[in-house]
Amino acid sequence: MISTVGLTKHYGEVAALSDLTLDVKAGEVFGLLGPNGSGKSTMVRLLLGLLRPTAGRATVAGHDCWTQSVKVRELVSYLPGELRMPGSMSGYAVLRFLSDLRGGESLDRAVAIAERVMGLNLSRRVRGYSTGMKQKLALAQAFADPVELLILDEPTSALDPSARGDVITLVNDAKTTGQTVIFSGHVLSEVEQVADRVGIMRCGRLMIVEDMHARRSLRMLLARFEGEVPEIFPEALQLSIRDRPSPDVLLLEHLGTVGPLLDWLAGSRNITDIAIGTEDLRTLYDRFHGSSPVDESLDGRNP
Amino acid sequence: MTAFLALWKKLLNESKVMLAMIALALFGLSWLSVYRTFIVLGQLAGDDERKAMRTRGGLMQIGGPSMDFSAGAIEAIHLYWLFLMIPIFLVVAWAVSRGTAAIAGELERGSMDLILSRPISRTAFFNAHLAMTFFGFGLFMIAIIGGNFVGARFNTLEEPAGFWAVARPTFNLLALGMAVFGYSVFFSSLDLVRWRPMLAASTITLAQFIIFAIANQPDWDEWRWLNKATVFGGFYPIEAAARGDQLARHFGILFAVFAVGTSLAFLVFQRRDLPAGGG
Repeated sequence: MISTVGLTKHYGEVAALSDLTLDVKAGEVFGLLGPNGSGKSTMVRLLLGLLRPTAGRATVAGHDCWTQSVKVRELVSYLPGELRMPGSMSGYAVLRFLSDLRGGESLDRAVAIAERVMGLNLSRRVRGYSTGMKQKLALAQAFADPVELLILDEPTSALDPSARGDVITLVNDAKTTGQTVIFSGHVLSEVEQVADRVGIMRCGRLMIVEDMHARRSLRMLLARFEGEVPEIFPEALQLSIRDRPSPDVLLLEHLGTVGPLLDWLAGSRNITDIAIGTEDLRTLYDRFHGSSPVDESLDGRNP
Repeated sequence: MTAFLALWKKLLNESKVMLAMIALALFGLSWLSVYRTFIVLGQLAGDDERKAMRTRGGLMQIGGPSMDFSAGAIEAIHLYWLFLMIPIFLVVAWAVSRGTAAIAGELERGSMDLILSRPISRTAFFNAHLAMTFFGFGLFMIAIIGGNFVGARFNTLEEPAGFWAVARPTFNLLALGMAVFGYSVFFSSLDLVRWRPMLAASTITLAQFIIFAIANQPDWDEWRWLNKATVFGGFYPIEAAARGDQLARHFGILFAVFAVGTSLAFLVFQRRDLPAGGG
């Protein structure tokens, strides 16, 4: 659905996005993470044809995002991170206006989502809406559009917990109907909940793309060894060394089935202590944005 | 409804108050100019020779060589020069306002994101703004001609200004507005915030008016050439009302300024980055 090759955007000396090469498959929910200024919005604006790439190319469903941007935007519905709505219009008038810009076909569905799911009073002027209500209104329109790709830039930033839950449900519904979703956000638990894959960005660079299905089946083992510490493990175990916190301790990643692992642990005489757990997205995120972030993208785990 | 029409309707909704106020003011001033013409023509034809001479001299001073004391020429003098140039100011204000709102204004407000994330081309977006601007000019033309028509109903003139004697200077005024819009929208196409193009366009317009005033001082013939350095050099409403010989040439000059400014703005807008609201 989305393909970028060496996509780069510079503002003079400042690199807002550097050499982004990424493929997002149709029907996939792709989470985009990174702090403010990491290049997420630049990437989204390049996809929408609002910015012209300095180098490289982006396509959506085969259409070039700069030269065929109208074709691209026929396929895309976008929820901007910074919402500015015409305050003098009623909620209904805003939905009608946005629907009319797409031929008017999504109005009924947008009204239904706004009133029934989001609980909005559409007869009120938008000026009187809270930030969260404006976000709900824009979300109603985004989810109502008959498009193949939804780009949601911080879709839950101003929402209360129950509305956040509704958004997660709507994203899952969109995925069920075959829509592709780009979910850019700061709330890691939400991205973790909905995304098939997650990309983490830093300083305009895509540092890693993580398959969340594999990650959900990932186990972390912290093992203390007595005597010789093994460097390699039987291939069938699917164990790999993540880190060596101390000379006799290994942090291991396990992606395989549990049975062979337990058998191996039972037979390993030199393991004196072990802890088994899972790893949340925060741990991965902190590797790039924590107190001591890694400098380079992780080998072998880039797209 | 097409995307273009939806956008045009939104622009109309946003600018309806300004449009209505300008149109109403032009209508009223046009009506008032008929009333003043009725009074002045009465003075010229009256028994008081001294008063008639004084009035004639005053009109000559403003109207210059184009002055022919027809109702149309006298109405144009009142409407464009004696009523504190309010019609000129109103049309220029509309042109600067629409020109700067078109790109920089939409970017600054963040409404550009909302619109151009939908399947509407930059060309359609630009044209909707252009259409809104011209809709305003059209409405102003109707307001001035309508005001004249209504005024003539209440103040019967022996030889009233004909339709063209009113329409030609109005057309000249709107061509001036188009020229101002041309460079306003060009400045707007380069910027991210509205205040800068608005300041630039207003300053340039004011500077051009001062140049025009210097170029047309009665005894400063050596400065006449300055008329070529200002869009106001293409604005001669009295000549347009009385004869209209120069109207096509003046319109051509003003249209050229509009066409160059608007074309450049269009080209810049097609190629430029559109960053998030407020830059």
